[in-house]
Amino acid sequence: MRILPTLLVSTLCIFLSGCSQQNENPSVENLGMISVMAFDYIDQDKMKMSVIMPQPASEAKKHTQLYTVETDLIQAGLVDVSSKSDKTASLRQLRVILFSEEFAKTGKMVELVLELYRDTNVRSNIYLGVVKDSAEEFLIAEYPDKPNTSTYINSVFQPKQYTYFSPFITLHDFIYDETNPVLTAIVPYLSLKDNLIHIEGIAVFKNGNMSHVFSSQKGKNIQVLRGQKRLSILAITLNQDASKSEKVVLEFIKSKVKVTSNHNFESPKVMISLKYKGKLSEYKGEKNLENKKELATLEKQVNKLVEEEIRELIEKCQELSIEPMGLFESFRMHYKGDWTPEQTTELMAKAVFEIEVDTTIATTGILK
Amino acid sequence: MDVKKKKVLNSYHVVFLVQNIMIGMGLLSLNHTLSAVGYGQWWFPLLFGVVANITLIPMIWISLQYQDDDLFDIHEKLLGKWIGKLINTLLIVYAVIIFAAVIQKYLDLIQVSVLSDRTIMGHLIIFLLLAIFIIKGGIKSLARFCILTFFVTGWMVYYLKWGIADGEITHLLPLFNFNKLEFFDAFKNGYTAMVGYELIMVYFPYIIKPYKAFKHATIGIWNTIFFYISVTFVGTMYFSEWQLEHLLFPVLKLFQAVDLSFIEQIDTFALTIWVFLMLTTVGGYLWMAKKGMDSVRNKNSQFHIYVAAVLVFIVINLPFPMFLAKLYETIFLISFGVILWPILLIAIHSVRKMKKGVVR
Repeated sequence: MRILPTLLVSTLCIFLSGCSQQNENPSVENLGMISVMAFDYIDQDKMKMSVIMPQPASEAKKHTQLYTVETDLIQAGLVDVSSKSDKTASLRQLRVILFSEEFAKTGKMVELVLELYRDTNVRSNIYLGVVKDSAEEFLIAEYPDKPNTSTYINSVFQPKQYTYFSPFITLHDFIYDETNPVLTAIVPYLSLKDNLIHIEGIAVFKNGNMSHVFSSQKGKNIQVLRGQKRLSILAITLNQDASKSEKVVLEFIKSKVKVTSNHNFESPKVMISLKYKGKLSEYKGEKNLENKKELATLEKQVNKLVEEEIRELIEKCQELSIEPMGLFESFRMHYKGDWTPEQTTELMAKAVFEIEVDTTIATTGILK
Repeated sequence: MDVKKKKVLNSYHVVFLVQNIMIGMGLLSLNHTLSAVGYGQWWFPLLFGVVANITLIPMIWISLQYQDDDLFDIHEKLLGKWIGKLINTLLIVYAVIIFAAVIQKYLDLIQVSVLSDRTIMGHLIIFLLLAIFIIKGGIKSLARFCILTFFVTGWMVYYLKWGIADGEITHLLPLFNFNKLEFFDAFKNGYTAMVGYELIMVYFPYIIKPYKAFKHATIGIWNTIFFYISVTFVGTMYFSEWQLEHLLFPVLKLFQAVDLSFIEQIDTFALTIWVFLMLTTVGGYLWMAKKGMDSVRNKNSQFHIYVAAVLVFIVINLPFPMFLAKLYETIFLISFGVILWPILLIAIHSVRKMKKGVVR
């Protein structure tokens, strides 16, 4: 007769649970799932925190709810947001965090990202972006031809072939870059143009502060040197000054980079070998592409131009004493002791770079 | 189940028992505990495997000399009734505190990350009841639960794939970038993840083929090493040294990198599945405490399981958090002593053998 007490206890357990206090844990319907956050700089202590959450109710006219609060701490800001909205704000569905340029330049961004990294509710695969002017504007702006703001912003940050020049840095990546002494952190740089979000280039950080913005073309080279295998389209103009300028577009490029060094700290030398492979999808010029010789000349010209571009990029980095490419990893691999960021800067300043580019044009299309 | 019968453990039972009692909380923070040696940590589990294998030899050897006795009986035979009982009592305390340390750490983590608006009391009671339920079926029940655990949790290794894709293989070098002090620190902290195989001395008399136990325990240890080295390898690739040092549970961050279209927050999922690994670990120690009480009181009683569980409950709820934190830290150092203990037993055994000619 053991079954009777068991049944009794289990029935009681099930029914008594109905008597528990309801305000303990908000149910899914009562949670406001924040999808995008934006931070603007006010002063050293205060920031403007704007959040959006999707509005699931079909009766509502707008499909996005926007809340802006002034706060000094994220959690305090969330409490403010919860009190303003009809729901409990939660960070569990956060996808994208935007920072204004001013915010990133004052060094508060690293601090804030670390705070979010600590929070167990926040995933570490959230995308980060630095925006020109005001970050709040991105959330306020109307995107009439898009389903809703959060879906749109989220999809802008999903890596796509044509935006491979953008690094798509996640929370983890940013912390990783920032704390890795061989690298300086990079974050995509965005702007708002005609009610559309535009990825302009790459913002590079130095000692926790944003220090420079590289164009998307330079961004592409940074990505290649960082080891990105798939690339977006490579569009180049050869002989820019001369009247006979040629335009080449290479598509579906695969790249392979190999960085080796002489491990000599006194006179460091870094050898960069780059291999591109792609198909020529557009060409404006006078070369006969059927002719293997002329094609080879074209390849050589492309090689030279890419090499120049990379050299220019490295020189710019040397000038700014930043190292977003991680070229000195091979030095660290054979170094005994703790590697410091100063060593990277020092090496960057005095290193000699040998760049070798090898482009292969696989096909030239079906037109003669 | 086979509670009364003596020899119940088949070869595969031994493999899974050894392996799953070892894997527990240690794996979640392995990258962190080894962070003193920086990127060099990825090959440390190999070293641990070798050390564990070497320290396994005296355990098996002394157990083979007393095939029908567990560690507690051996103590009484070798050290005399009273000293034996005293040491057995200490071992009971050891088992109870390890149980408490492991479960407390896990429940704290659950509270921080999964159920942030509840206290640990409710889970603690359910957890203890589950552990009692498993151990009531005897050691074979625990062994079967270990097999289940392996299949429920082992496939999570697949989720490390994302960490490899995002990681840098170059981090694997240099191999020996640390000094003696850092090495010692990492070894001391990291080896706590290996604790658990010493329990073989307690369930040894239940093994059907004792002469093959060494082989099977070795397989168990190296299975564990496989999981450990996968995690340290991927962790080294995926994290910077700063992250290794500052993240308390790097495995959870590794799981956060997982990007699947149909499910999100794998880390929460993994953390809740981890309860299986915790149950096997604490189950082993609960069994040890139970056997210890049996031997001290000269009475085989299922009631001792409840006593042990209540003791654990009391330890966790002691109102001295600072003392407990210190205790939990020290208990793993004591476990190194337990691992090395059989060497002393062998010495005593040989001395007595020389004196008497026969021991028994």
